[in-house]
Amino acid sequence: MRDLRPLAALGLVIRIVAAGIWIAAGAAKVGELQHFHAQVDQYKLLPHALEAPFAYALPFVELLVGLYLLVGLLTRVAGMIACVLMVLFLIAQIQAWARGLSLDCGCFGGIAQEKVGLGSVLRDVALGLPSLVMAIRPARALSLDSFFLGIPDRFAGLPGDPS
Amino acid sequence: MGKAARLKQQRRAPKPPPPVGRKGQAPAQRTVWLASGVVIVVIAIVVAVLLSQQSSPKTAGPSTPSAADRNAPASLVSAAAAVGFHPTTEPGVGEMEGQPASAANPPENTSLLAVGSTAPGFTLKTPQRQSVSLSDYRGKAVLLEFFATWCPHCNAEAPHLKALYASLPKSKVAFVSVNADGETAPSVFAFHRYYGLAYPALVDPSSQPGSFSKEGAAGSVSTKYRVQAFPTFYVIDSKGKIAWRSDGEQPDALLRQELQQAEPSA
Repeated sequence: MRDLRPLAALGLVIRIVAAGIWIAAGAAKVGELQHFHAQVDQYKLLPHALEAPFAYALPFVELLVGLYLLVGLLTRVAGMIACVLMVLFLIAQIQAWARGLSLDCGCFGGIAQEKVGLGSVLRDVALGLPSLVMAIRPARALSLDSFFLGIPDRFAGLPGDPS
Repeated sequence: MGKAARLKQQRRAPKPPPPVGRKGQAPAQRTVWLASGVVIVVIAIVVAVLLSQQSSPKTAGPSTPSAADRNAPASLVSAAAAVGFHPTTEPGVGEMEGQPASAANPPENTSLLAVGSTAPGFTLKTPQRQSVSLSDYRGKAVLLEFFATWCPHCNAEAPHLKALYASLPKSKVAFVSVNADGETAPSVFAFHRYYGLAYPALVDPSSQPGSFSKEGAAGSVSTKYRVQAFPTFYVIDSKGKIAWRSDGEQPDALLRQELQQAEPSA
């Protein structure tokens, strides 16, 4: 295996951290979809008819985003989708907080229970940062993007990123 | 520099490297996007199957509203529509109602009013502003339910209470629901109309008003009855004494049994 330059290695670590966050979030919910459905319902944000499809699909989307980041496939796209999801979560939490709803964030299923509020919002902002980095400067060291598609590591500063 | 020298220098100069991974990448990228599309379709199918197989959410569809609710003022109807009420659910709710009476759990709230004590009297209003007093039902066994419209357990109970009420003799038994979260009249009305309840649901005003989408605080009657959980039930006998009380979802069979025991003796 080639030696990784320090910057490429740092990018790889950030990518793996981002992947871990999304895989943990998705895996925690996949096992208890009905419970997550109830949590989505408590946000009172979506039309009732959309709550179940959203609650049942989201954990799989989170897992998929996490796996794509982990293997470094379509890294920038996965990072962008992750950022969009995180923004949606932040909007949901802030509106619930502003409306005075006292409810469990539901962000990581039963792994981490935390009431929606400033703490959960700041935590999600922090957890979204690695994904934001991947959307802006995708790290492609040891990635399928690099091996399969020949796309260079943008995080390490190589030019010519076609994605 | 002469033309010949420039040409020589150009020949000597190394060729710029070809753009990395550009040529021959398009088919690979297409394959990746195609495979990703297939994965997304597979996920969509899995989600559709899970949705179709999900166990019943234990919530009932809307019922035919009572005559009083059908004739409610238009302002109340439109205000109730703005509340956005819909049944709420949670894993595990709606399972206790069908159990035998012996399956009931003891009340979690140990400070509920004591059995045998006199039930505190009250007069509250329906969302249509009709006054209802507990004393109106003296001589009957009364099931007094304290509820919140957003509470999944109360939503699970509503269709069961409706059916139980329909099955009991009105000459001996009365049901009264009191909103224990200080919710507004439109919120209470939306719940009452959705489930087509034939017994009154009363507004218990609070200094911290709530609604279907906003947690409130207990009103004075709910406080007097020491309500801490939704739903809380009291059965009051024909003489106005508390005959039984508990909180949380209850087996239909237990409520029926307690009401029959509290009925006036013939």
